[in-house]
Amino acid sequence: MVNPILLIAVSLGVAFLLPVVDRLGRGVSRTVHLLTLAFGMLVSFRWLAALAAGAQPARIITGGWPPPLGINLFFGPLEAALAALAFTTALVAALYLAHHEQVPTVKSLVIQLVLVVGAVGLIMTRDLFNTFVFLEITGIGTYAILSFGRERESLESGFKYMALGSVASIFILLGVAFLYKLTGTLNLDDMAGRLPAVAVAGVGTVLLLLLVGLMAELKLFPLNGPAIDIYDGGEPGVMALLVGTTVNAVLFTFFKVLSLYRGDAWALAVSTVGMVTFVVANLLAIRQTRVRRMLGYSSSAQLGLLVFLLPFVRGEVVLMSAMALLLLNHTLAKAGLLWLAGLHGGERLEDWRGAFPDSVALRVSLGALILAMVGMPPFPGFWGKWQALVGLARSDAWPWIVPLLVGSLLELVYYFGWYRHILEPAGEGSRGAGRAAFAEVAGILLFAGTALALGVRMTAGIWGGPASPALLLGLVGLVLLLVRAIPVKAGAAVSLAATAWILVRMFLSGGGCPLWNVQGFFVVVTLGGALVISLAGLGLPVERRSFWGLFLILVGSILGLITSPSLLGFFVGWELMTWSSYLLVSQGRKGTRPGFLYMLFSGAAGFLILGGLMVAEGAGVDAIGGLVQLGGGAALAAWTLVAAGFAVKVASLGVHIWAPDAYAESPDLFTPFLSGVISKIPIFGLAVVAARIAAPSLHTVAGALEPVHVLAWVGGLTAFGMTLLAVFQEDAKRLLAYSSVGQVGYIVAALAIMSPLGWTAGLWHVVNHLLFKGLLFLAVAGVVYRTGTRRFADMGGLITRMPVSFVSVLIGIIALSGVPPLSGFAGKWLLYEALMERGWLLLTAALMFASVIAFLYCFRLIHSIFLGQLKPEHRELREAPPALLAAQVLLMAGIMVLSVWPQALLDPLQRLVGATFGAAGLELEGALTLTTSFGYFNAVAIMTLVAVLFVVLLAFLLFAGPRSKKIRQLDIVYAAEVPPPPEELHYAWAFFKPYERAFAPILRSAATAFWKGVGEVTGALGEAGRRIYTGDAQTYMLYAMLFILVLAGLGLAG
Amino acid sequence: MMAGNELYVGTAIGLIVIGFVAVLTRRNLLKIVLGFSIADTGVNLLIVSLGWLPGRTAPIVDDPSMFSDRAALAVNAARVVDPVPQALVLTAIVIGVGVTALMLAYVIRLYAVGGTLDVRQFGRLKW
Repeated sequence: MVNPILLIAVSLGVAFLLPVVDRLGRGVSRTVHLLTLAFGMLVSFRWLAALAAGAQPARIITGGWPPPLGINLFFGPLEAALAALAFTTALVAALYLAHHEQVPTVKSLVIQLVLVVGAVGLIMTRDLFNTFVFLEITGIGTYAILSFGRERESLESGFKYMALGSVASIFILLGVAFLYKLTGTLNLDDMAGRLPAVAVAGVGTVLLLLLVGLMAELKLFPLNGPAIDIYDGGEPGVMALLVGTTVNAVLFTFFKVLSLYRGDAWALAVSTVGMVTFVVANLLAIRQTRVRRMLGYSSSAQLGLLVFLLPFVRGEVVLMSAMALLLLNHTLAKAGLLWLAGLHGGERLEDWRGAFPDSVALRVSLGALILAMVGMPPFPGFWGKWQALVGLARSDAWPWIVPLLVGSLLELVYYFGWYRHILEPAGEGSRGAGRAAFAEVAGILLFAGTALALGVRMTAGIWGGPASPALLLGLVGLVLLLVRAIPVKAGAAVSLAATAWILVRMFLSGGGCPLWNVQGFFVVVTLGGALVISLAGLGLPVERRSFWGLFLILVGSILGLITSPSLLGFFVGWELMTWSSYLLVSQGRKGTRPGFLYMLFSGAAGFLILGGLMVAEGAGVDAIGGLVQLGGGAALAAWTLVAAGFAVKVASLGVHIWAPDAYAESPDLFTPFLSGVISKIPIFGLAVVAARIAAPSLHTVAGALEPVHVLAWVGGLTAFGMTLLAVFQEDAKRLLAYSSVGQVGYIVAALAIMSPLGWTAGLWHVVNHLLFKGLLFLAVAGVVYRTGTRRFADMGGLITRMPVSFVSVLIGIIALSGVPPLSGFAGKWLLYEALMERGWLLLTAALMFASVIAFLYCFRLIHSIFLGQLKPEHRELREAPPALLAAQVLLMAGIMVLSVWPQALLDPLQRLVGATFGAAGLELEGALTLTTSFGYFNAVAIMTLVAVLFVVLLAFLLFAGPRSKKIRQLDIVYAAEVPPPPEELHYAWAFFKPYERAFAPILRSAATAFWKGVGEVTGALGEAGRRIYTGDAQTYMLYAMLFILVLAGLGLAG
Repeated sequence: MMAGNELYVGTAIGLIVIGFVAVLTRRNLLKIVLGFSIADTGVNLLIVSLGWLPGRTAPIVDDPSMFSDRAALAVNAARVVDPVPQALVLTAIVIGVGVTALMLAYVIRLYAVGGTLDVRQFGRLKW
């Protein structure tokens, strides 16, 4: 094996020789430069492989003097990994910089090598003074490469960075010298052994000097001003190089030096500074308008997170792997994003509108790297954050989880604030890659590809191997996303085939009906919904090419979420679902803003759930099945957090403000899935995760107030409030959106009853709502597709042009309103009985009242669209595309089957609920009658009765009623001009205005105003806070000196 | 602190303070660079004086034959001050020269683009 010291020696030697080699031509010197880096990369990777296979780490003694007298180097697995990362980054950075330097010179090549030498030296050395020397080498390299920028901004930021760096190096040198004086050694390991025996006053002050010096090098708050400036002013390619080399090396140095700091006070100080940096830098970033500056804040935050974890590493092994993953993730994602920023050139967020319309690979890479950056699965950062949280949860450090999650949420705000612009449709002014050479994008593709490949591997590990249907669907989706040659219609066909295949395989495989357990039940719901959407997709075109790829990733992630037995597997699927559905929502014509809001609330929901899961992990539970073991306070805390997360995700009253726009502005083909399936996944979570925690212990906890009763009321009030708001909508999709949220509220209330009958009612409604809301949204999608509008005022009389869609809506609203003879009746009937059985009579009354209000909007829907007068411009309208109608027919058939033969679903639900509660709660008498404690009900008899009544009435109207004369809209003669705006004259305009005057202000304004206020206050904090970075070099140096005084004042100097 | 080196330590600390005050309060870029140089000198003096032992001489072996004679080396070691701080300072001085040169290069470039040496004029990037 090659001696690792050659990594330093060869690079340094070549750096000195390069100016000479350059005489032979720039091509030669560039080649030598690249070969040197490739050599370093190869050697470090070979060492990494050997060390992983069990080889001994290399201990290198320099100058013939063994330590502690001589300087020694150490090359173990961590060192090899960091060196490999440094050389790899430097290699691809060199390829990129070759195209991006304003004045390509050999000096730049030399400095690039010096930076790598400095980094690798820092990584390997075990000598404190040697550490100082390598710190200075990296420092000088950094200042020099920053000075190559021709622009004033680059020079200014470089100077400020250098000024603060010089102050830091004075602190460090003083610290090192005094430590030598106190311990008589410069060897790090030797010193760590001797230091505890030193009982001289002032040891603390010395250690503090060294600590603050390193903290300034690490750009921790409040010393991060110049570092953020160089992101803003420097060449992005240079910053990418620094992220992969210097930054990681300094962090590792900090890790090594921390062995000198014994005692809880130091650990607390380091962790606090790290966490404050993480939260504050993320907070201050949310009002950034310049992309590169925002990336600078983000880097500072990420380093803060890593520094925060450092003191805990020694206690918890899992944190070591967490740190490694987080560091790798940050390097890959940040370097990749910086190269993309350099390639794109857009400075402000708005400049990124529809970025890279000409390259699928770059667009996907950009998305992947942003998702990696915020810690979304499947990327390494997600696993790192999870492990970090688990490590904290299992130690005394669990309170730190709260700020960690808050900071992570703030991180979502600005990254998705940026992504929002990227997702806008490409238009004039959208910048692309142009004629970028392959060498320029090689690093981006390599880093994004590595992050993705690692992520897929880890996801496969947790979801049961590469052959699991969930992963397969996701991979097919990824292929659809990446291969531009596949036509959009083919995407729908692939999606149809894939979902149908899995569904068929599930029903054919042994082990009985998949509906017999909760997991199987929700898998069937998901795949059924996906099947219908895919079928409809054959008729209804989508605007964005990436729709089907993302759709399959979404379906795959939901399958993974449902079928995974572990908390981690569940949460992986949950977050995958969050971002893939976010991207689909944002594909709507005006979808990026609602998508952003959707992402924020979903992200918050995710972090609440994560918090709950961490309470469980802290109690040693990592399987969903083990949640029943939780007891006492842990159970209450876990249940509250998890249930709150699910309540946000179902858009409960108060946090519902994201839902209407997200539903309304999503692509018309996606809204039915959003409403029918995705809104049911939190229900799955309540049934599987929350109920398991609640089942054994929460009935008795908390004395007078039953937690599940609170949840039931949350569901009930949501049902009530949303139904009320639905009535006043002037937009068909918004009306259905409010209705959806309201209907899911019923399901939440039903599950919260925690009785066999309640669950039967809730799960029945899950299927029923999927059927009728899918039907209504698809019918409306057809209408919108043909008319080009969603507003009631622009429609009317369409019954003659779109009769099948009319029938769809008619069946849909009957099933929705819960009147006999259709399937909605059975669901409502079961729900009311379950509520009364539990004794929650007031809630029963509220829900019954809400059902009555639902009639109002049901009427509105069919009346405004299909009845009344046909608009002149709609005379020639055609019926919706056949495939879309076929999907509707499928859903109508489902409703009919459930209506006539409810046992088809109730029978499996009986078994399912019976297995959960040990009792079924209702009886199926013979084949047709179902009986509960309050009464019985025969679907066939009711259906027959209603059919007979209908025929009699129809016959009466047709043959015995008065004749009518057809009047067209234009038969009306206006006496004068039409007063503007004309839609106010439409018969459907402001139909329920009087009720709105009575109710709406109470409901609408309070929630919206509250969340708007939260956003504004947070934004104002970010805006005010970032003013501490005055831009003045001397202010930044003053902060460094004051920071020492503050830490000393807190008692660290001693 | 070692007895006898108070003067050096005091001077060193004084130089560091003077340097820092210059760095924090002078508006002229050149004076800031000077401030850094003064502070650096103070640090170097401080380190050397930490290793200073009263009455001893420089840690230089002037007779090569001494290397083969362990006893003579030991005698010599008892006559000289601690060599490590001197080695450190030697390195630190070299690094200091490099950093100062680079800083001056920055000042030249900044003057070229900004036409001024006032540090307050170079704070465009902020917040």
